[in-house]
Amino acid sequence: MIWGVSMSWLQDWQQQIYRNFLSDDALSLILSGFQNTLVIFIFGSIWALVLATFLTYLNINNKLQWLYRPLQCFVATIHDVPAVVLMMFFYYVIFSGLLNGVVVSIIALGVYSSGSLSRIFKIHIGQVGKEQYESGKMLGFTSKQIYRLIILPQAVRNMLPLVIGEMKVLLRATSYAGYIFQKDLVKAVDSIRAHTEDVFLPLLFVSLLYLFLSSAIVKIFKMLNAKFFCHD
Amino acid sequence: MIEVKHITKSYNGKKALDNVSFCLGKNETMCIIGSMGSGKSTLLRCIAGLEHPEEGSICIDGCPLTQKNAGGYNYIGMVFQDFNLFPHFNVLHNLTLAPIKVLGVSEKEAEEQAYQQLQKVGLGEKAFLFPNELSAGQKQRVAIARCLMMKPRLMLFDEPTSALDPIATAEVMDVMRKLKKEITQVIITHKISLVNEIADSIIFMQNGKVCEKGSPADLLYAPKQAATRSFLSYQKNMIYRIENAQFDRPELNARIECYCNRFGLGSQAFHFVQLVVEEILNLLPLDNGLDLVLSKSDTEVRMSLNITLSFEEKMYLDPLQAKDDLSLSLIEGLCDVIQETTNEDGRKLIHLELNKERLL
Repeated sequence: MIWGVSMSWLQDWQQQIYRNFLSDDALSLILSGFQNTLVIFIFGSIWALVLATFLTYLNINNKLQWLYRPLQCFVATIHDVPAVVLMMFFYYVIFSGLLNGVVVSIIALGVYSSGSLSRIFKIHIGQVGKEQYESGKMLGFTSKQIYRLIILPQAVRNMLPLVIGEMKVLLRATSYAGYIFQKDLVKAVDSIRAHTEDVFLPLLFVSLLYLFLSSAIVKIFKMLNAKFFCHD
Repeated sequence: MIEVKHITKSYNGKKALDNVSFCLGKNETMCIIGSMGSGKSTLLRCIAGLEHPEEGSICIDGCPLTQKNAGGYNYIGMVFQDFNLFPHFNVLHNLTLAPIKVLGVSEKEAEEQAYQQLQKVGLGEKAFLFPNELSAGQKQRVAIARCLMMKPRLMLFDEPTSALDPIATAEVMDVMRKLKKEITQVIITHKISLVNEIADSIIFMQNGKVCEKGSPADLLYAPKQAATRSFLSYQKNMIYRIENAQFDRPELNARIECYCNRFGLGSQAFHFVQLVVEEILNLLPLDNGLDLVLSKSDTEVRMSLNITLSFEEKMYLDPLQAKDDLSLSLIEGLCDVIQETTNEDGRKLIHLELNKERLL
């Protein structure tokens, strides 16, 4: 009796899994959605880090304050706008039809995260202290060497948890991409849900996938830190 | 070797250095003393090239140190008060990084030199430890070794022992003693014993100016300027003014503790000195104010307490007139010498010499 019930429950699950994820349409939807989400996240993070590094460089360079101030003002203002509104604004107003949804999502998310990332960079570089800079200078290092060998390794180590946090925020924000184009992971899973009328499995799947990506970010950033900044 | 001519430096319109000039020969050691804010550190930072004077010039071996070449390596080493070691590198890497990257020394050669320098400062076994695993004295010795790796012609020390306890101070002073005659040194310190021992010449600075300069024999034992005398007296003695009976007792106790610590006296000695001060204050009228001066002999374990009162005729330490017999008998037991006199202007002076054995 129990054996029979168990078998029928298992068969039911197998069918649900097949219907939701393995049928041809579902699988291609999920794969293309996952690919788009991954592309938005990877290039969005790179764009955010590049932009934040550029802003920080402007900030610590006294001669470039005239450029830093308006840029920082712009970035700080748009950071207070919800990410989804910003994406829609970029897609429908600024680039209206000129660029596809993936590219616009990358640009919008990069700009969205760069403000807070640049603040994190600035604070942690400042925390290392001018004493370290001066002791490097007294040993004859150039400014570039001081930043590369002395200040950045210490700052990166200290700021890593906050940068990882910001990357996780950016990863979660990729789920808003569905508002401007229909082919991200969340939208794909939502389409499957609408088609199969199963709620639990698709949502569980997308949650687990985001959880996995989140853990992967932590691992990757710790590996990068160990490889490039921990010399001993 | 180093010639500083008429340098002036201001911050927000306030002169931190005002027409400062001096010369220092090769392998000589000069100490700069002075109270806080007198411009000592600014002067050292100008020599190091970390600050740029508005007027005047600094020449090292005849070459002017201009703003342009101050950015590169000028063969000047600087040891900071807070060590400023690189915390993400171990001791060996702290020492070898600059020679490899700046002087272009090979890694193997740099490591050999690093081991030699570490042996020199007595830290040969600490090469693979990180700065946070070292004591303060060891950190400062690593900082000195790191400077020596760059083969400087001039070493600048900005209060190298002020953040150290007496044992760590002794360790660092030992290294500095070894460096004397090997390298030209300019040292900022408040430690008169170090100045006395190591300096070939001394500069006393006040309000950004060189107030007095000379040899240790002249400046420490026969200072010409009143400001120098007052500074040295303040360095040697603990001076405390009690305005009235509501004075800040915890502050006085803290000052006594600091003073005892400065001479490496233990907690027992501190409690003993504190007890004597407490008991003598029990016997004196505090409402008219008094000056309390605690001084310790440089050469032997002897500490005296001098108290000056305003015009008072009463004998406070006379058994017949004392207001507290118990306090008086305690003082008699705790002090070897008790004198109560009146000076020419009628002010009462009380001189106590504290029991030597209790100070040990």
